[in-house]
Amino acid sequence: MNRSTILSLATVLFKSYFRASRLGRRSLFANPRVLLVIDLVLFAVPFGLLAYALPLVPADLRSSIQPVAVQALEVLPVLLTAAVIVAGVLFELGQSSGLASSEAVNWLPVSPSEYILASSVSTTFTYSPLFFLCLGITIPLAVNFGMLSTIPLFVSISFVAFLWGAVIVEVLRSAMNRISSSVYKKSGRAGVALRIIVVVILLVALQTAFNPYVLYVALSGIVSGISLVWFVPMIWPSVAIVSFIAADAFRATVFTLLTLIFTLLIFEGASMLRAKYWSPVPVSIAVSTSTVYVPQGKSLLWLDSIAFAVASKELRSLTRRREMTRFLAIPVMLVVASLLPVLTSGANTKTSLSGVSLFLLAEASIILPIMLSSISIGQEGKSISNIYMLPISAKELANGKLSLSWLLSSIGILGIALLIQFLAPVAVLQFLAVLFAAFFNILIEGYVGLGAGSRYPNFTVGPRARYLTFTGFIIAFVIGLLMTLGTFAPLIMYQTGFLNTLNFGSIGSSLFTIVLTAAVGTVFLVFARLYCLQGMKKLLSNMEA
Amino acid sequence: MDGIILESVRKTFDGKVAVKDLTLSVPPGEVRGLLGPNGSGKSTTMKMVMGIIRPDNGKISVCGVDTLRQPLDAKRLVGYVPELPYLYEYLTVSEYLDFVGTAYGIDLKIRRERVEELLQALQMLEHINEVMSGFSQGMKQKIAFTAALLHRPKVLILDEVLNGLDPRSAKIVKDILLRLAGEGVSVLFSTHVLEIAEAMCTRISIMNEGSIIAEGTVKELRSKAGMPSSTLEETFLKLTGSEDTDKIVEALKL
Repeated sequence: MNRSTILSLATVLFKSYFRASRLGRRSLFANPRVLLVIDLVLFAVPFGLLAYALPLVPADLRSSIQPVAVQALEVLPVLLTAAVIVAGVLFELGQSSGLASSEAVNWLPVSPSEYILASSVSTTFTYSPLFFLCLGITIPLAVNFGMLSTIPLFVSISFVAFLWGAVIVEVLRSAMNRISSSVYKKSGRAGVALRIIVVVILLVALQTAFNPYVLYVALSGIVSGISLVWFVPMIWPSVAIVSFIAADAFRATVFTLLTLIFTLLIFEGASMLRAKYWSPVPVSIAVSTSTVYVPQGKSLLWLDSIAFAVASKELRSLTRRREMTRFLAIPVMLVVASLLPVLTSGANTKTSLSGVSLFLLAEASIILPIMLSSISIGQEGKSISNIYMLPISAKELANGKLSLSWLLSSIGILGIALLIQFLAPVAVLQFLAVLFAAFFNILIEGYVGLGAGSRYPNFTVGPRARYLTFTGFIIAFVIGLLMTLGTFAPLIMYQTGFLNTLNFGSIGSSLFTIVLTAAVGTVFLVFARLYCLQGMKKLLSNMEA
Repeated sequence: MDGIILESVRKTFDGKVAVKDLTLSVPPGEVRGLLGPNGSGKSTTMKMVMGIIRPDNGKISVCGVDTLRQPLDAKRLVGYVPELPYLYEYLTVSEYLDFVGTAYGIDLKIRRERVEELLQALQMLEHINEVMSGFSQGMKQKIAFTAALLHRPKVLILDEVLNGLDPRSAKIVKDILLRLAGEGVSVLFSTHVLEIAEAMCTRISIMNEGSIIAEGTVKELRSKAGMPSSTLEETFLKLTGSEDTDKIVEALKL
């Protein structure tokens, strides 16, 4: 292995990650030296604060902090490995296979082992702020609670565990690239459907796993069960630390050695997989009877044939592109993330839900349509030239792009609303009033998102592309939030009892809420549509060279 | 006269002039070659004709339709193949061509017939149900060419259309273009392969640094360069002031 090749390749991979991703090529963070400074700050600040504060803690409180400090030292290696794997898998899911296959490294004289080491170093360095932050917290804890001698072993074995995450990501990357390509090619549409399901389940599972409540339960389980599951390699670094703290030198040595051996094994495994599945192959799959012709002159609801064709294209983009599939998981993740704390809090579900149901629906009716519509321009990438070449008007493009965002958001909102109604039922008219406001808001937010997406598109095609500039993201959410507050204002007034003072009675108040929501919503809808169409016209008037 | 007309068109990018007061006309039935070194403004000119890039000044029309005032009407008359065709690679060939055909408002029956005959001619019919992500550059070029011809355009703008095509496909594309020109279609055609330009183009415009520096038939260009018995390559190099290529290669320590 050539050391200079590995170092220069690691630097290139690191820079390409930052410059092609959301931070942009001019980002300060794309400079490795800046990241080193960040690492230092993230280590020094918590270290300094804790080193200063911990000796001041009263003795009775110290006794309750001590077990937490020990647990933190024991669990940190497992956490670091898991965190890097999660981040790496998410990164991989957001990367287009076409891009990965055209990486220059594929035809340069770089051996699989060199690539794996360079990529692992790059990944480790990319996520190094997490490592240094954790050390900045745990080292002063160790010092203060009499575990000073543990620190050398703890730091080095935590670093090895951190590196494991990066190497395991390489194993998963090779497997995902080539094997999924083969499955995809052989199974056609079924493969596309299977990939969507797998990605959605994977993302929801990862998101659920990092839910604070679930994480707490899982970590408690790991701490108490480390000695029971000692045979699982992922636990070996933790077992080594536990044994060292317990002054069991033999066991600590054995598990440290096992950790090092396992490092070599996964590195060799990753290199072998890389050698076998060198690079992803962008496959040209065949789908039977793909000819879904849009009849000329026919329309579906408000969609004319061109808008319908745009909408169909959008749906295919969302379902067939690996980097886009993650966006399909977001509605499911949103539902799970919203309901999980309520359902697992231990309190009465009906009471908990009735308090937050309006908030949940308002939140979902902003996030889903804004996210889906604001990315719909940038996700075109360089293929946006097709839209410029073809005689497609701003209105047709807007209608086509929005229809998919409306459809998916409506499904998501309906799912959340029905689930809430099932778990904590309210009067039908009240339920309909909330649903009415949410659907109105979906329309408004879709226009707002597309308005921002057309003004601030990010056509950069790269790993974890965001398709919208940061400015666009902020503007979309600020406008969207204000309009949501306005649209939901009648409902808020209803729920706070303000409308009851008008003496309309229960049914009258609900109906009045619906009418008021429609009136306010219509005003916002007109403004949002204008904002959208102006943005689309501006976009189509001149392509960025 | 219809066809393509550019009058005093100018375009700058961040203060840098890409196209300088360009005036050009391509009458119906003419295959006009647009030659020039890299960065001379050929692609920018073509994109402005397509209405994709807005000029800072000047007027552009295709078949009498102002591309700035009536961009959609103009696009319905033009077929365009960009230098690098960025297709929707997650679509199958038929889905992509169906999308293009719908945008042009082509009747379903005619659309199907046109797709089939064009793909057949370019030996792509067997790939009609394949997602295009795994296609080679030549295959993508053929699909882009098919898309450009789908609506029977009156004007064709072709930026390096023969890039990546195998000799048989290149010959078919050339024959199609000559036949379309014979039927009155105006073709604006850029290429770096001067033999192709010489064989295909009725007239040639040579661009350099955003301006047309010479225009005419190959014979007229030769006499303009003062090299009546030279090749088009020699004429081109003389006119663009880049004839000292031998010295450059000699200076390299190969």
